[in-house]
Amino acid sequence: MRRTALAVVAAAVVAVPLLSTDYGVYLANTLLVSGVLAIGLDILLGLAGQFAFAHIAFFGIGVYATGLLTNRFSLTFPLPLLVGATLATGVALLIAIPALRLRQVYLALTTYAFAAVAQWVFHSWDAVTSGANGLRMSPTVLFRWHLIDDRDAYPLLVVIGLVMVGARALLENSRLGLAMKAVHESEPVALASGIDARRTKIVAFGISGCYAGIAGGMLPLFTSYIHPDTLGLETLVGILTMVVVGGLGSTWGVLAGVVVMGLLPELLRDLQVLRELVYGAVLMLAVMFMPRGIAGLAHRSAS
Amino acid sequence: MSVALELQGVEVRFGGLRAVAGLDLHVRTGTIHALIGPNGAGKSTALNSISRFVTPVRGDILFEGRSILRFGPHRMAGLGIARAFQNLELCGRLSVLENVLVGLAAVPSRGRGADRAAAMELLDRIGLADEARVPAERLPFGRQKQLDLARALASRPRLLLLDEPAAGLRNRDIRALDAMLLDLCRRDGVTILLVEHVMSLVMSVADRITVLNHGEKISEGSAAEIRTDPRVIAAYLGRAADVAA
Repeated sequence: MRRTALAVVAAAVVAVPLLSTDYGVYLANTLLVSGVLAIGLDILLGLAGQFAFAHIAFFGIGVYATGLLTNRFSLTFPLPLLVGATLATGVALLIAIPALRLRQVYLALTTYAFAAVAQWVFHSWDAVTSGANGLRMSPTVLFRWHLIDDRDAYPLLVVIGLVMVGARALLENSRLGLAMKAVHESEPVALASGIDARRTKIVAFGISGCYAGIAGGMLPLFTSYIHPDTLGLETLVGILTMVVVGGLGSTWGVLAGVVVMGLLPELLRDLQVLRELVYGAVLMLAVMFMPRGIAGLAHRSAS
Repeated sequence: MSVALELQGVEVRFGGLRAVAGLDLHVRTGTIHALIGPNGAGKSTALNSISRFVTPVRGDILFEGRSILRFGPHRMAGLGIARAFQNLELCGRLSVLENVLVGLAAVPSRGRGADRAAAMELLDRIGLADEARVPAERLPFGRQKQLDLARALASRPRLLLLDEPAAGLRNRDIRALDAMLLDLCRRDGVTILLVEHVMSLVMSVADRITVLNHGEKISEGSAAEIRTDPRVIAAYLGRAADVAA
């Protein structure tokens, strides 16, 4: 069962650049970015149980840092991406220290406020981000080559995606991953067992920010333009929807959520005005009838 | 005989309420010491101050001779103090095995395989090995309490704090608990501080009993001494029969 699923996924990954149109490859690239973003958000929400929503800000930091380093210094890949990811991780850790004094809805609001401030900075810091005009990003440099189109970028994005999924699996099975789950389930039990709940949450925040930063660094590989308007609530909710519909805490579930909710707008494109309505209805039905998402549904039908 | 745990004039306040009022307590190494008293006497609060979930406003708490007040609750397991919880407090959606693995957090890992083997050994001892993969929340009540105990024991504590381990258990399970506590103490040398309402358990396992009322110690001694102490009987009022049982 699991083997078959893996084989299907592998076949799809290989088939995309061979069989698909340019637009199809572009779509696959955006799904890969969303996948890394969603897995990262799920580490904080699904694994450690912290409802924090600054994720989109760390993504933005990754995009701008990578784009600007490529523009100004023509640094070769993956240097700009690594610098961007480090920066995003650092900012995430700095935010986590004060924010994690708060819980639940207060944590959610405070971290969202940070994301709003970050968006305002992307919008207003003209000298660096070129503000409301958006930023044109030069093609990625890979040693002597320049990555011009979506097909050039696709294999690199797949490799990054695989590494990030692998890292998530390692985390799941590590003591740190178990500590995150324990903090999620019961903080008293975690504390009494010798787990530093606060440090565990801060580390989860940092790792989550790192994923967002890397996802941000993936975007300039196939996109030549970023506008701060795309780094707001709408994108955040989009990613959150993928995580929830897929199933909090399950990597495969989240990835399925990314594919389903990522492709749904494409399938509904001909419906025009009705599109938003149907998207909303699918989301509502999913939350009502699949409380643990696609992962929960798969689990139930298997047992 | 050495003292494992010493409380010196410990006072805990919740707003205007003095939950624990200047408590002195000596728990000798390798003994089972029970803390009893009517509801609201401050027993659980005293236990919570030792496991550092609450902080006293006055007094000091020493474990094996050194003060533990400057450490947070997550440091206790590493120092050798483990606790179980009064109300069911487990990682409900994690498996039985994972719950015990959480209890191993304070012990340096000897690798994934060795950690799992150690956890399975503990589950075997309390008879939960067959349910290792079941989510903890699916176990019956009594089994969940046993699992909490197993989680606490995973860190190989020298001092075990138990908050009403017998509450809600059937008589058969209480007898098993009785045997297990004696075994832990006599065979493994674990010092146990027990808060408990079930007097039959207290009377049969406790080497020494401290009685609290309104946050103060009103009596201390062996089971035989406590049973006949008029202050204890007065504190329990109509429940004197319980103490005599």
